[in-house]
Amino acid sequence: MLKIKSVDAFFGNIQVLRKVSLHVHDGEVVALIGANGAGKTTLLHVISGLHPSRNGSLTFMDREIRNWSPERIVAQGIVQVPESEKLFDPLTVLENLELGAYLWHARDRKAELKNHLDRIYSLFPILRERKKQLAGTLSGGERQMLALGKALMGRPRFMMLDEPSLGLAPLVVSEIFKAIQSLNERGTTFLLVEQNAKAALGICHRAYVMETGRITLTGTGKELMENEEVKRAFLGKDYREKWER
Amino acid sequence: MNMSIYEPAVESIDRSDLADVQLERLQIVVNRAYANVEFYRRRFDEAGLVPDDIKSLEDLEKIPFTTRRDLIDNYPYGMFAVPLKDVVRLQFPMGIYGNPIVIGYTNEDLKIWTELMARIMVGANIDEHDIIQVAFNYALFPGAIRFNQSAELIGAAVALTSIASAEVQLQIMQDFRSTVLASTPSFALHIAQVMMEKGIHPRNLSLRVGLLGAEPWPEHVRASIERDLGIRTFDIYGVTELVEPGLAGECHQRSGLHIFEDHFVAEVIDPSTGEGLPTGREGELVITTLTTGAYPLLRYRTCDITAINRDPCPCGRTMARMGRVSRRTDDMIVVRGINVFPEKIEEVLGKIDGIGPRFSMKVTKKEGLNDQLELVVDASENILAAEREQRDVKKEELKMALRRALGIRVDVDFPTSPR
Repeated sequence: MLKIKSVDAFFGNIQVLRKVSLHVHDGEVVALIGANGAGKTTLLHVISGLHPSRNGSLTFMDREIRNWSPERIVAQGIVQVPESEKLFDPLTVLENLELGAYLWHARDRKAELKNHLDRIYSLFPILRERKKQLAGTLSGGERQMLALGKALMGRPRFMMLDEPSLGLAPLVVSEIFKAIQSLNERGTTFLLVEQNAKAALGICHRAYVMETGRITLTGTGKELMENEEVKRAFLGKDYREKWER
Repeated sequence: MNMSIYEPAVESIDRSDLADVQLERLQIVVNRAYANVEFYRRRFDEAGLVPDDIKSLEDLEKIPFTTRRDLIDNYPYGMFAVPLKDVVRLQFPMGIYGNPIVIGYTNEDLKIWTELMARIMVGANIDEHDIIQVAFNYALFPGAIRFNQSAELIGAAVALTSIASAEVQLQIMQDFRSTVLASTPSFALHIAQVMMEKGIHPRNLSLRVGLLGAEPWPEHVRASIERDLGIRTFDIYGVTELVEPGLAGECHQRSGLHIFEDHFVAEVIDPSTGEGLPTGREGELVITTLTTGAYPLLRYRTCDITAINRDPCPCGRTMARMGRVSRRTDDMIVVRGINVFPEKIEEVLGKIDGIGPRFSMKVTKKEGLNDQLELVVDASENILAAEREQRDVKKEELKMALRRALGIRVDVDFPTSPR
């Protein structure tokens, strides 16, 4: 579905992506893990057209989309879930969700919109309860669910999430990840950037590890979970060297 | 005939998807080798190369070759890409001049290797109903353990007969109805001969498949093994410094050995110039590991001569096929499945007074396979002039030393007149 081959990206003179190649098949959940500053978010921005890239190729459904404008890329069915602080705080939950459908919403498609809303409410029942509440008054977990819901209103084929677990309580994290899994079972493909490696590796089909702008490991979630380097670098809290115990 | 494929999604992958996977993995292994392996960082720096220069699979040819000599020079720790703590198995193929070679594997490396052998087994139509009699010498051929693990993976049983005599092997085959023989072709021939002597007809055995390898064996040898043992045989291939066996294996078509290209990139080069040869031309096989964690090797020169065919195989696999290996670019010879390097012999001769350094090797063949190695070695005039008994003592000393160093019995002769 998505194929990236040897793509570079820069911040000014500083190279932040170095010949990055990866692919995501239709129906997969692929995780991208790595330390802060490894280039994970930049890569998402390159895919969604928010950050320019140089060299290589980036194809989606066999179409070259590298350096297309973000709105053209969104129209292909690629949606990057905004970080949860980027909601419209003064608007209600419902209004936020409706805004997510602005690409396809029209006066004569009210029934379709309602159907869509119902699907999202069934995924996150809390949003139905809070639909008249202003987004600015939601808790962290609820905001993350709203951000996901809003992105889903765009009917994406391919969703990219940047740190969906950031700042959330473990219970909420597991709820968000369950939602990702259930959406995936219904056909949405995911590229997931996470620092919470354990949670991400637990639900993804495959994952890539990024270090200073390069891909340095790949494998299935299970394989990487058992990889000694991954354990040392990312599963720190649950992993101790013998002499540390 | 049931033609199953162990991992159809991988072994029959679309070749353009395979190329994508290979590029991703190549970039990863290059990144890792450059960051973690002192030897490769130096090599890249000398060549003015950085990992970012690898933008496509074609860029692979910019990378300098790795040779057996490099592995010797960088013993013990110079080639590892992970801390030794992550290495769960160390193997020591024969080195030269008193310098060993070490190869290490992480848990994941072993898991991949086990899966590759399982692919070969399934490709040879082996399943959970089979009993695989492994008649390899586990000490001299450490890769033999892979038969056990891969058999477990596919649910087949293993009879570890190892170095038991042909008579005992045959008894076990009859008592436990082994269906698969894994051994060197030489030993399979030997078993066939003993069967003939004892009047055992193939009908009395349940054998149906032979997984044979570790030495070159021409088609006419295959024909006589198949006839005398009543089995269908499959050639398996490996490289001691990478995985052996498990790098490639024959499918039912038996028109070349499928190389597992999701884990290895195979190239064929002109051994004298190092230039890449077009697909189909015969030359030296060069292998780059794509997924090896502990001991990545970039463009490793195998010294084996073969040609590669990238056409899809009627069996359904899309993985390229290599021709059966019958020749090498170096002087290594294989005697009954054991690799013998002339350098190793030089090393042994150098330690014994009054003999060498000149020698020649004579190999006696049995039914087309190397069977017995004889060394004709220069001896000093003192030795040649000595009593026969004393000469025999010297010969015996040399034979013992060679046996210890090479792992096989070697006949020795001192020429009385200058060669």
